[in-house]
Amino acid sequence: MVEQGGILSHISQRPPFVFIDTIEYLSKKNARTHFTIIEDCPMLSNGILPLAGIMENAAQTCSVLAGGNIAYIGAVKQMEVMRFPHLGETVCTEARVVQEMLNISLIECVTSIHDEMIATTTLKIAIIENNATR
Amino acid sequence: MLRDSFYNILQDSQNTYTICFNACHPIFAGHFPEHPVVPGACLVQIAEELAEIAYGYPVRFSAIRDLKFRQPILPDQYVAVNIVKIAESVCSVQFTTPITDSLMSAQLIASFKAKFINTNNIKY
Repeated sequence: MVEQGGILSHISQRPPFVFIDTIEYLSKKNARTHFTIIEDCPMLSNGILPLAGIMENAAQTCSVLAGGNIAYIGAVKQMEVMRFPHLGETVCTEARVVQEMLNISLIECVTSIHDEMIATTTLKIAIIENNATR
Repeated sequence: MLRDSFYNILQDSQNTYTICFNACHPIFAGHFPEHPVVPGACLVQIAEELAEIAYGYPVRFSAIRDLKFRQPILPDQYVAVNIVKIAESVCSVQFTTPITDSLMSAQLIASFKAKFINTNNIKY
């Protein structure tokens, strides 16, 4: 379990644009993160986290898999939100690499709250080596 | 809400909005330090906010398809956002370089289709 603070050694994003708090699990092809929606969240909209915020949470969960390199979203093949998280709720996002081609990874993410699936996202992530800041 | 803090609308004509970014906004300090670029997810949020203006009711995107980011946007760049309703509750969004009178044609920056809901009609 990687706690808040330690998270910054796993991603290139910095506050206030950090959309994961802790890493529960990390392997070469899987990552599971947790993120609590607080008042200071830059994407908060009328007390809920909109689709774009859920997307950024998924993207940052994917960037954990990039091992500290910069991971850009190249494409989102599809994304669906069943329910929007409220301020104060904690989302759990699980990312799974389904395909890798050169520096592009196809990753499926499932976001849930208390085991209830609230969103699915399929992204293509481009990884750019970032040795300078490591 | 990112409008009037992260970005501003400079021009609004026929569902095309020309916007500029606030280079001093804290989002750029975090995405990324040393090389600020507009986060891709922010483009989706911007489109949702502009769709609300275009349609005149509160809009929330509930699904996205075929979102492609073709080039990064720097904080000092101007961008044109075109939002077209292509079906009941579905819109097509394109981010391009601004359309000018010069011979240079607009370059595509990002595009996607979004399914949206009118939040006046639902309860959370």
